[in-house]
Amino acid sequence: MDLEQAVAGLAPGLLRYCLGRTGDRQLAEEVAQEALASLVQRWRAHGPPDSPAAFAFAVAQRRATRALLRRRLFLPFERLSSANGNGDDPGAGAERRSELRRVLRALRRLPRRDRQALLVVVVGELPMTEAALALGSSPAAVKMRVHRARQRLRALLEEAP
Amino acid sequence: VTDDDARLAARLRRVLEAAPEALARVERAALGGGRRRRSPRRALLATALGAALAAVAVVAPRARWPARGGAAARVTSADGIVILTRAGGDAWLARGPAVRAARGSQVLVVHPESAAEAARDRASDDAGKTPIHPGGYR
Repeated sequence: MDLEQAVAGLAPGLLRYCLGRTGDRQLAEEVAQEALASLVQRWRAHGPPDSPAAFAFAVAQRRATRALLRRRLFLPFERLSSANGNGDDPGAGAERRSELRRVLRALRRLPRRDRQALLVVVVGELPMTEAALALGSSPAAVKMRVHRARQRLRALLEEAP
Repeated sequence: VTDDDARLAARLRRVLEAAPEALARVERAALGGGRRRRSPRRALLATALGAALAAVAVVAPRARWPARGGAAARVTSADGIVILTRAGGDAWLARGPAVRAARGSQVLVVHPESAAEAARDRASDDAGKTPIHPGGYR
């Protein structure tokens, strides 16, 4: 697999994961871009990492956490200047936006580690072993968290209006 | 994986799917040497925050502002040097208005004692010696 193929293969899942983490399309794009840029840099300097997917998701996970903290710092400025909402694609339909809000709200109610595991495995489509590498956990623990998160999320989405 | 699991996964992926243009932008930027795209609104906010930080550092060398968890973040100036430590633990060594360099990073806690330590490091750098924390300071 060459670098371009790896980036193209990882980008869709990584972007979805970042949107699930941040709840903001612009921020998700920035975080995904930074994670892939780190992978590209590492690949060009030292060759491909053992698992490019685990590498990119691990970077994205840290960057997303920092980006969310940073956003809290920006919040007062955002409130002052936000005339056009939450950064959603203006072309997207209202129904899609409301579905996105419903899903994001339900995701936020999951325990943090369960949510991370679910997003990496189900949304980012990483195999269990690579997800475990990215999350710094064991495959069995990740599997258990994903199972629990699925059940809880399903219940939350059913009870959501 | 049950049918329910598969349906849930498909729903999540559909809702969180990015637009093709966004995907193309991300791939292009990553392969093009890691140049970061930052939305104009966010860039403006980052600039505003950077300017605010610089003003605090210049006008009030020992200013405090609220941080998360009830802790206080502090900008300390010692001999014109401002140290900002980030969540990752690495420190920034900046002077006066150069605190702008910290924009976009998380400024959480600033240790006054780090100022003296970093000043010592800088002195060893100047003398051509190995810094205490190679690569730790920017």
